[in-house]
Amino acid sequence: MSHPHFARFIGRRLVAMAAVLVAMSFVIFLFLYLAPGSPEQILLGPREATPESVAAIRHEYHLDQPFLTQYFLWAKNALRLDFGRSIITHESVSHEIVQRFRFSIQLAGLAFGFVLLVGVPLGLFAASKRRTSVDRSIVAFSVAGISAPAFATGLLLLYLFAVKLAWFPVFGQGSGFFGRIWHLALPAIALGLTAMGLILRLTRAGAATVFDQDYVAFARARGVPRRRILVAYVLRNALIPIVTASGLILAYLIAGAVLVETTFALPGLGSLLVEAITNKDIPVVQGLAMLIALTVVFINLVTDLVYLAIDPRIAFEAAHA
Amino acid sequence: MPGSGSLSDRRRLPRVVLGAVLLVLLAVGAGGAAASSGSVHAEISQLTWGVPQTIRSLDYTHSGDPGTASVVFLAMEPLVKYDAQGHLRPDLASSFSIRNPTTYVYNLRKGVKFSDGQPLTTADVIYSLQQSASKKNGSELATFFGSVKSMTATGPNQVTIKLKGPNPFFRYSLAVTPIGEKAFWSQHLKDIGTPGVMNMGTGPFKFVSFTPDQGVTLARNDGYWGKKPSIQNLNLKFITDPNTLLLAIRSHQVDGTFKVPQDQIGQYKSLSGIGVSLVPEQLAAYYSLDVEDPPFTDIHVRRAMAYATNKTGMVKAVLRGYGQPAPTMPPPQQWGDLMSQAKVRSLYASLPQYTFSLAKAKAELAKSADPNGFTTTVTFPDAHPELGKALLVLAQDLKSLGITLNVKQVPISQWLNKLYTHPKPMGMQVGNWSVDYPDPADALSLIYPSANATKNSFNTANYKNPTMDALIAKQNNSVSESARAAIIAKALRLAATDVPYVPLWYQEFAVALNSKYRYSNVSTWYEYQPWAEDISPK
Repeated sequence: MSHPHFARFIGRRLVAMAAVLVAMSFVIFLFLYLAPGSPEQILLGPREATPESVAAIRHEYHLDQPFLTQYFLWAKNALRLDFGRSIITHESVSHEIVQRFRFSIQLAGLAFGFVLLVGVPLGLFAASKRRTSVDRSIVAFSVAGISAPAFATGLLLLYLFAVKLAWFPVFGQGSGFFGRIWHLALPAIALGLTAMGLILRLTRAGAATVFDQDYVAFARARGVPRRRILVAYVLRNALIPIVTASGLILAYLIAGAVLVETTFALPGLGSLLVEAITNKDIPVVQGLAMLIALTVVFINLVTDLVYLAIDPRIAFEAAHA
Repeated sequence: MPGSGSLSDRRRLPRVVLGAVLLVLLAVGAGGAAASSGSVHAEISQLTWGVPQTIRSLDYTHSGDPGTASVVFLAMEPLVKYDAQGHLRPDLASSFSIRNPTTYVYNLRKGVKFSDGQPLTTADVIYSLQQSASKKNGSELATFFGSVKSMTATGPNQVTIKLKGPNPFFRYSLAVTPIGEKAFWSQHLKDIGTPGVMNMGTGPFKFVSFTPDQGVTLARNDGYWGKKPSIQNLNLKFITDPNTLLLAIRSHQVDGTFKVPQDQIGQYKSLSGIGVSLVPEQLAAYYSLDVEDPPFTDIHVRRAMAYATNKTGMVKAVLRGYGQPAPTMPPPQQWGDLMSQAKVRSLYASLPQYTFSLAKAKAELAKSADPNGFTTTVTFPDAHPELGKALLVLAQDLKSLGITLNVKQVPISQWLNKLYTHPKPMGMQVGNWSVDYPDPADALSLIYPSANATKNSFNTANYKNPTMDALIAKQNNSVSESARAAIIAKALRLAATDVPYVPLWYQEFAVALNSKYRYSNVSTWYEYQPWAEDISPK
């Protein structure tokens, strides 16, 4: 793809992204507004409230304004990247989210590494051993991975490796690079297991088709080393669906880890989002929604760019479409 | 394509065994388990405590729930504090007196310093009380100060508080209001209690760090005026998943925790090296029947419901036996100063009991306008599954009376919303009432006055009885403890006769602690006490 094409491609993406963000922020704000319950009731809990203290809290967070005014007040500040303060914790939303985001990226990164480093090689291996008992046991393993709910796997891992064997800590996030990896190993595996099963199956299916292609047979006949056949012929051709799924999986690992975060008492984006929604903490929900939307859009963009790198034909088609 | 497998050289393939991949990954950095809490002689260098919730802030005026109290009151002290029985004792005030029903005088303890070394003055006390009372700032404690007319320094070490009218609860408000340092608080007015700022108090511990959703660390405050605690460093960890907390305690990575869920107490008891003690919790579960909404307008229907409520069965099935059936709203320990526990027991035994009897329930229903039963719906908050279980027990028993009770779970926000907006009719409503003060008139003045059958108040039964209103007003205006106790007993008897509310149980809470340590005097009021100072090595 030439430079002007590329610039237009990126430009179109950015405009679409802005539109998505505006629409999303409005819809989420509306849903939270319509849902029953109100933050001051959650703040005060089931205890006697004077009308004045209820009114004071409502006023402080503009909850006494009409819906559209509330939205525009939020949007005006958000444009200046000021997402306000959390109703529940009084902490600045940007500050709260950035900390969580950094943590979630680390956990998701580790889980993603596990997904790819285990899922792809096992999938390739299974494909190369199709219809043998090795293949069948790998497939069975992936089915187990896909079906096991993360909180159950998490508790099982905790019980085996943290309590019985005492190799890993039961909770906490650790400090320093190795401390962090040590603390996040079990959560990352629990989080990544489902996605790993999925990637394994996708890789196996994709690779199995490629193994059947004539060019693989020819490569073998030419005496191309097996390792090269696996990587350069089979894997590269099977890679497009894997990359597509990986993009979606990465987004899920970043924002959807709530069960694992709760099980391992970790401070990630998922648990913050669930908490904020339960408490109707509108500024935090909005800030998180924006961040998650941005992340998803960004990951999709990167995924598309990776397609171009893997398969030049896609770039060629895009340029000549 | 004929057998591609035959072309491959199987021996050159890496022999990947499923488990091996996992094991290699698992082994990354597998060092020793976290070594927590080494105890040295009479001191505990570090104690790790599991807090089964997260807290929003270290500013109690903006995070005024009991869980936050159990953290904040370790480092910040009130003027007066509860002892284990709920009696008021001097704390930052070395003495206090009630001059007349509207004048309260507190003499500050001399030589008290904040953990930054600054001395405690009347200015700090008045500023803290004003912040806590401020409706403008949205203080969650403002309700407690609704009756205050003025708060002034009447001497270098004396604070006098005047009330607009008599309020028997006011003295307790000061036991749940922590005092902070004025200079620090006013300098950080906008973000007091947040992780970067934390808070400044006079307690036996001082805040060292606060990480949202992770925990709070505290260190012993060496300038503390009182007895030096054994614990040097206190590490509070927020662990919201009860199973994870159980595993953390079992592996001794966490030394102890409060409020073990009822259905896990048995599991905790079976752990080796962990001691479990049980303490009454200041909580009453109940349901209300809207007396303005048929069929509950009929007292025979309400009595039939009460007779069909198997409280003993619920305690056994839902609380696993860790609780008592409740004949009336105030938990017995809530009588605090007002009446001895022996007298409370005999009073409670003399109240109308509605002991579970389907035969009596049927007889009552037969006398009502709906002798063949009816259908109604009740919702319970998702955060309190035990209420849901209790309602299902009730629904089962009501079936035999021809009453169909539909039990539905709703998010706690939706449940609170109904409580606050008070739509009419309220129908049947279930609740878990956590007491505010060690005074049995607390429940009376919350759910029984006619004036509270409205928005933002909690007379969810819409119960309106002039006799009850008169009794509540009379005890409010009395300062004699024996007179108040007699009036309150009368009001509770009336409440049991009219049954707008059916109290279900008082539950117990469990404290689990590593057997290396001793926790003397576990108190039902621990949240408002620097509880960790009572933990010492064995």
